[in-house]
Amino acid sequence: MFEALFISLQLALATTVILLLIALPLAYVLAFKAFPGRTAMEVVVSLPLVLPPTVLGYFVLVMIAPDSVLGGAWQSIFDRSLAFSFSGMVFASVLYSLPFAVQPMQQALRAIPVNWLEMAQTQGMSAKQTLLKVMLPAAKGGVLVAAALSFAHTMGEFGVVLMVGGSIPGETKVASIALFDMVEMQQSDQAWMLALILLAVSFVMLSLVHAINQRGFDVGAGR
Amino acid sequence: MQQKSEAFEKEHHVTVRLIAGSTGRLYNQIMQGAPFDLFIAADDERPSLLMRRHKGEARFRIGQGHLGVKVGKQVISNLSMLVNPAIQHIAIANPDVAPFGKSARVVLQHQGLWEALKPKFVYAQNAMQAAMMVDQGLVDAGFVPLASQQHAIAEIDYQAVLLRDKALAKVWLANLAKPQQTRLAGCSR
Repeated sequence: MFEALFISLQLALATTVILLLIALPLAYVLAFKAFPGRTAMEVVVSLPLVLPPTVLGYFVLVMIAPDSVLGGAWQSIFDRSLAFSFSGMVFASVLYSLPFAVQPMQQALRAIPVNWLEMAQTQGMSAKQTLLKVMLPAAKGGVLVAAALSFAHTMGEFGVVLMVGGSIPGETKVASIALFDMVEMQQSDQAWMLALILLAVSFVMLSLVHAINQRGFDVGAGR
Repeated sequence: MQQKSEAFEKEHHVTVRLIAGSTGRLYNQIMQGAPFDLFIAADDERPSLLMRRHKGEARFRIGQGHLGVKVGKQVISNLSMLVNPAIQHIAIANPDVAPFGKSARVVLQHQGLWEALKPKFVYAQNAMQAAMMVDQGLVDAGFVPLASQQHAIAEIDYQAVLLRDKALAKVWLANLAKPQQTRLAGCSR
C-alpha cells in the first residue's frame, strides 16, 4: 500500500514540476498575445477537463505505444518502452492536468493591471525584467494555486493511469488503482485506510488553494 | 451473451440488461443490495460466498471458458517461448481479481515460469482488456480468452447464481447453456 502511495507522490511531484515549466509560457501567451488560432489553443488546453479520462488515456497509450512515432523514438533512444512505464505515466499526467496549471496562471496574469506593465515599460525595463520583477511576483498566487491543483489532481488520477500504466506494482501501480484493487479483493480495512490517506491529502491541498486565494483577494482589496 | 440476450428479448418481450464488470466488483455490488437477477462469474469463490451469505437462490455450472496465449496474432501453446527477450510486455488480467489471470498464474507457477516472466507483465482489469491490448499491438503477447478448446492452456468454469426467484430469470438460465448445465449440490436454500 505504501509502495503505491509513494509512486503516487513521485508522479504528482514530477508532473507538477514539469507542468509549472510548460504551463507558465502557455499561460503567458494565452493571457497577452493575440494570434490566429488562439481560441483553438485555449480549447485544446481545456479539453482534459471534459474528456473522459479513459478516452484521454487510450489516446495517449496509442500515441506512446512501441510502434508509434513517439513511442518508437523513445524506445530507440532509451532502449526501453515508454508505454507501461513511469515516464509514460508522467507524460499522460502532464496532459491530463494541463488545464489545472494553465488556467489559474492565465487568470492571475490577466488580473495584473495594465498600467503596471506600462509603468514598467516607461521605466525602461526589458521584457525579461518585466516578467521577472513585475509579472511573476504579481501572479505568484496563481502559480501556487496551479502547483497545488496539479499535484492534487494527479494524486487523484485514475482512468488515465489505468490505461497508460498497466498497474505494474512498484512501477506504475498508483494509490488510486491499489485502492480499486483492494475493494475488488474485499480487503476493506486496507481500502479504508488508503482512502482516508488520499482524502487527507486532497483536503490539505485544497485548503492550501483556498488560503492562497483568500490572501490574493485581500491584497486586491487593499490596493 | 449479447446475441443470446437479444434473442431472449424478442422471444419474451422483455429488456435484458447486461452489466459487465469484474467478479469482485459485481460481488461487492450484490452484497450492497444491487438489484440484479442473475450473477455470472468465471469464478468459484464469489458464487459460493454469495450462497453462504444467503444472497443467492441457487448456483449452477453453466459452461467453460478457454485461456490461451497470443504472441501478436499467433496463438501459441509452448509457454517457454515467452521468455524470449524480443517479447517485452505481456498483458495478463490482474491475477488477484480476475479468474483468467488467476488461472494463468497457476499454470505459469506450475511450469516454473512465473518469476521469470513477472517483470514483463502489464496488468489488465480483465481478460478481454488483455486481449484488446494484444490485438492493438500495445503489448507483444498476452493471456487471452480463446473461442475454442484447441490451444487452450487452461479451462475456467463459468458459474451462475440465481439471485432472485424470478420465473424469467430461470428461463434465461435454462437457455444459457442447456447441455453442460449442472446444478451444484447443496446450494439451494
